[in-house]
Amino acid sequence: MDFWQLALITGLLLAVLVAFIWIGLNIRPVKGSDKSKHKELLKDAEQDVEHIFSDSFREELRNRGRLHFEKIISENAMFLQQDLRLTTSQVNDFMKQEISRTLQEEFKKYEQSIADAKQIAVDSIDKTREAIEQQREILGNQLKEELTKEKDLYLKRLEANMTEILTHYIMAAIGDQISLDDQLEFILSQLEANKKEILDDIKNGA
Amino acid sequence: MVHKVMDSFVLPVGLSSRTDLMKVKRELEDVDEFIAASKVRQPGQTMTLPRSGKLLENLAEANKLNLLDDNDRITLKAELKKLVEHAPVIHISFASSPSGQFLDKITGWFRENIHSSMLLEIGLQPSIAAGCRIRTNSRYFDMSLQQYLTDKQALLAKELRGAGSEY
Repeated sequence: MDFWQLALITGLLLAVLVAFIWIGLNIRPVKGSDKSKHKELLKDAEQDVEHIFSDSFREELRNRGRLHFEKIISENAMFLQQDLRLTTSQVNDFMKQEISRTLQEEFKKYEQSIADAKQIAVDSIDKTREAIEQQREILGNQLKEELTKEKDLYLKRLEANMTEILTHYIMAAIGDQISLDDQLEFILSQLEANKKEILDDIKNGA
Repeated sequence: MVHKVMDSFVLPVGLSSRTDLMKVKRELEDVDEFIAASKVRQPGQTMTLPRSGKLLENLAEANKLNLLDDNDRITLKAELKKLVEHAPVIHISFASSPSGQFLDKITGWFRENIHSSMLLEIGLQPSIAAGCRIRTNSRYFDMSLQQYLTDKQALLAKELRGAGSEY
């Protein structure tokens, strides 16, 4: 239905309304004869209204109104659908952006955490290695000292018992090959070396 | 019968110890008894000849004494008695038993350098290893290889330290 048709219908309705109002204002309490005239006028007005606004006209008005209403509803529905689609699309895009941004931020934080943890681990390993090196050096020095002490101790023991060791070794090595006769020269040399003491002792004893 | 006074009684090197001396003394007494018995022997009576070792014969020979002569036997007996009572004794220990020749040389040295009547008491100490140890009445002489090495210990320690420092 076009606009002018709608305006026409609206104008007609207004005219009718004005007419009724005028009639109503100008209706005087009439006497018996006035009342019957009045009644006739009313009856005529009703007939005219019935004549103008017949069932078919009303039905036509209804159909036109229904069609117009349906059209408006359809258009509004279409607008609404378009708006909804646009809004949904925008919401989707917004969600995607937000999720992507949030995920990227979280991944960045995660990467930073991993990097920090890695650095901490590397620092810890370096410190541990330094501590181990220090300990190794300390232990190495201690071991050297201990070994030196042990060596000195063994040397002292060896020196203290050297003659017994050598004697034992010589006897074990060549004891069965040295006869007393072979020692005669050594024994006589020892006797010569101690001759004076032996002589003095025998003389003093005698 | 007269006992001759001898200026220097010679002990042969074979007679080195007091045990040998006592043995010779017993043998001389046996000879003396035999000769005394033979003088009073009845004809036909058998007699047992005394056993005399080489030591007695060597002793008599070294001192130019005749065992058949009574005076010589008396002299010999007196000298042996003197030796038993007064001869100096020295204890000497070796790592093993010495041979006769070895002992003769040692005895000869002592009699030549220390006392002409020196007697030796031989002992065994395997721990000596080499050399000998001598004990007199009042002193002790360690002439073993161990003592010899102990005396040279400073030198040995020095050599040992020098060798140890190379390692």
